[in-house]
This record gives sequence, C-alpha cells and structure tokens, in this order.
Amino acid sequence: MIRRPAGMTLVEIMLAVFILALAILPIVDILSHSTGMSKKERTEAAAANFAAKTMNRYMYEVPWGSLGNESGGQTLGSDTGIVFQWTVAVSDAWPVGTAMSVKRVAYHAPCGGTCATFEDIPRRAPDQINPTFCSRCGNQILRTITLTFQWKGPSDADYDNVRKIVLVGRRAMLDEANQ
Amino acid sequence: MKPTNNGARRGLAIPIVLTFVVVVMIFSIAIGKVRTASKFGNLITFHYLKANYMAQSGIQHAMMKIRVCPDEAFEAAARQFGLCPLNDGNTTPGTKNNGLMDAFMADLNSTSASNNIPAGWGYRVTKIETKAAVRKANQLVTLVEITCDGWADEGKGGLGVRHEIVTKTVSIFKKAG
Repeated sequence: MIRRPAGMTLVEIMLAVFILALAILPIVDILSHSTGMSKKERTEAAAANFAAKTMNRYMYEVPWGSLGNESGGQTLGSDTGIVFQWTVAVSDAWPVGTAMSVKRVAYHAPCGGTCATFEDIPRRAPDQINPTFCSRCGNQILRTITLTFQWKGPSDADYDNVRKIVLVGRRAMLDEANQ
Repeated sequence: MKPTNNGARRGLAIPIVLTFVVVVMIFSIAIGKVRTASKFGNLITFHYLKANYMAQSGIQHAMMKIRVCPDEAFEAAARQFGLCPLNDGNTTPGTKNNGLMDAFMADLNSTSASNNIPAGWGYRVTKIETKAAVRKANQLVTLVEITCDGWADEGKGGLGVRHEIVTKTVSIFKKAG
C-alpha cells in the first residue's frame, strides 16, 4: 500500500503564503491609506522647504525699498499637483524716532585700556544718533514680516487652516554698507 | 469509514487564523508608528522654522543697531575687548569691561520694538562677544560675534516652546572723525 506523505508540502506552504499575502494587502492598504497619507506628508515636507525659501527671499533678498504687503502662488513642478499660495504682511517695528539705549566712553586722556567711566547718555532716537544713515532708510529701520503660507496637494479640494504655516521675522535696513 | 491520514492536517485552521491576525496586527502597529513619526517630523520642521526666524530676527535687530550706532558699537566692543577706544594704535588689551556692551544689548529683544509678533514668540540677543578690536589712525575696526536666542510656541502636537540659538560674526568698520 502506498502511503500519502504526512504534513504539508512546500507547494502548499507557498500557496498558503501567497493567499495570506493577497488577503493582507487590501487590509494594509485600508489601514494605512498608504498612497494618500504618504502624498500628504510629502506635500507637507515640500511646503516646509518652499515656505523657508519664500521667507528667506523676504528676509534677505527683496530690496528694503520694495518690501511691502503682497501675495503670490506657485505650482511645484508640472506633474506634482502641489500648489502653494502665500501672503506677506509687512509692519513697522522700529520707526526712526523710537529711542534706543546707548552709552559711550566718557572723554578722557587715552589710556592703556583701563577706562571704566561711561557717559550715561539718555535714550535717543536713531534719527538723532545717525541722521545720515536714517536719511537713506525712510521712516523705518526695522520691519516685521509675517508670511502666511498655505498649500494643497493633488487630492485636496481647497486650502484650509490645517495646511497653513505662519512664519514671522524681523528685517533690518542693511542694504547699504555702513559709511 | 473514510480513511484519514495520520492526523497531521487536523486543527490547522486555528494556527492559520492566529498567524493571519498576528501579521495584520504587526502591520497595523508598524504603519501607525511610521505615520505618526512622519507627521510629527513635519511638525517639528515647522516648529524649527518659526523659532529659527525669531532668532534670525534678533541678529537683524543687533545688526541694525550696529549700523545706526557704529561709534557706540565700536566703543562697547573695544571696552569689552580691553582696549581704550580713544587710544590710537594700542592693540594690547588691558582691563576688559562689559558695561558698555551690556547697555548696548539692553534693548536688543523682541519686546523693545513694536509688539507685532505672535504671543509666545520672541527673541533676545544673549551675547555679543568681541573677537578683535583695533583703532588705528582714523579707522575703527571690530569683529564681534552676535548670539541670539529665538523661541516660538507651536501649539500643536503637544509641542511647547522651542528655542533656537543663532550666531553670526560681523565686522564693524567706521571712519573716525
């Protein structure tokens, strides 16, 4: 009498693994929303980079005289479906008439570096301290830049507060070399 | 009676179902962790950007004051370095004194300017350190390192206030007289 082999054959094990994989795959997909989630996170990462690039432009590259409220938008590449939009609000932070604290060394015969007597000068405004410099600045020497940056991915219908970052920085009038 | 094998295949359903359930659970937990980590990573990046631009603002503020007050900045740096700002050509440091620099830094913070930044955000120049200071003929030259602490409150994901420290080295040139 021929006996059938006991236990499972290799082919049966392979079939079992294959069937298991087929059954798990849609479950994993449902659990993770894998495609949608990764796109969302990639869009967020791209937005962080682009927001920093946009903020750098307003902080360091746009000429001081051209700084002002404005808005813009851009599509990232031609096939990503990622779209950015931003608004920039510029407000006054330090008018040239706002006093700042300054002190100077009191006049004395030049010494070897031991002088410790300082003039307690009252707080003075920049346009009094350095009228030549301030005459080139307009009426502000420090401005606050508020960038509101929004993004949407290919599956997002519209911009909303979830996909938004606000960056705030202050920029000084440094366009010209100190003279 | 139908012949059976030696019983090796009996009771196989339970191990298969258990294996299936365990594998699905492991996948679920792993996916959940990866997803959370990825979302949190982006949030940390946003948080960093906010605090970093605050710190950069402090550097801009300090550089603005140096531009407006080059004489005062030079004198503060010279005294911090140990030079008498009135002594031509003396390059050997004497007694260091931070008094002028402390006064110079007193209003280098976010609250001294118009308060138009979000609550919980801010910056403060914590240190201006003079690396070199020279007065020669009618030229005043100093090299200072500005250190600024910027902070921002994220308000999302359980993240609190994040601090970023930014350092920048700048030269101050000034023609005397």
